[in-house]
Amino acid sequence: MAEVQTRAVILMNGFDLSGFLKTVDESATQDILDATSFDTDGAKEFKVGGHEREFSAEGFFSYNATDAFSVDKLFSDAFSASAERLFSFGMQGAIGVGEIAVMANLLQSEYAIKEVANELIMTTFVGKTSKGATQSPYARGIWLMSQTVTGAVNGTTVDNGASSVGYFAHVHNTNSDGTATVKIQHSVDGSTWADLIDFGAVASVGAEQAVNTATTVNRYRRAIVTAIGGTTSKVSVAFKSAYSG
Amino acid sequence: MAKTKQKLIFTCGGNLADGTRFEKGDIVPADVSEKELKVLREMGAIRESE
Repeated sequence: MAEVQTRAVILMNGFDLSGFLKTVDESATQDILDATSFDTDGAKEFKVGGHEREFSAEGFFSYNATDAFSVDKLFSDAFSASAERLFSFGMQGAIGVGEIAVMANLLQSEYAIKEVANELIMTTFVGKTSKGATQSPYARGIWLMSQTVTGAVNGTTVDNGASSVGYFAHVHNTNSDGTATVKIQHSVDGSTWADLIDFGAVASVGAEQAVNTATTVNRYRRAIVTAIGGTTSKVSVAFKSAYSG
Repeated sequence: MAKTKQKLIFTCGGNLADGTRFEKGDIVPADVSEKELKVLREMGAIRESE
């Protein structure tokens, strides 16, 4: 069934890009290498080579000298920092618990600004996944939470149907008001909970990740968040289980 | 030295069914039901301590 894209949630390093971007392209490519030798009857032989994922986005330029978290600041850091960007994408609009969450750890390869007289100033971002030492930098999981939090909030329970092994998770605190403590819990009965991941205090306009390939994750999962110091925080938690790296 | 009575302690943080928060190293409250203790054992969230 065809789906019309009217809303999407795009988060990067704790910054909500949803209001600035108008297109996102996700592509995966794999090299096919020609291994045909002279010893052939004419049919070509191919070998599978390397593969990569690329995310590119186009949006509206934004710069504010007093705003440390502008789009320009976020994208410009590509020229001075080589650290991975935690990129989380909710393609199903206003993200709800259980909906698809795309997570990718990106090395930014391009940031372009296009200025044309009497036109909107546009920006382009391109990032590629790069294999890490212990994990693949891409996973497609679900959202465990995406909401503005004041005080302590226990997220909605997600029933995975069975336990699984390993996980990959992203957390974004996209509100500039304050810090929030974030945990992901799991349970065998959906009633009594044990902490699975403790992200500690996630700074405002900050992001964290957690990767594990060996721990058993019980059937029921949820996020629990506490906004610190009487402030509010907009916290989004993306989670992939059955993760083997 | 006489052996002290064994206690149950939590091996990680979490929340009991009534919402009570516990942290790693806390002593399991005496009023936790056998049913919930069974769940906590299954999750590896408690262990015995001297």
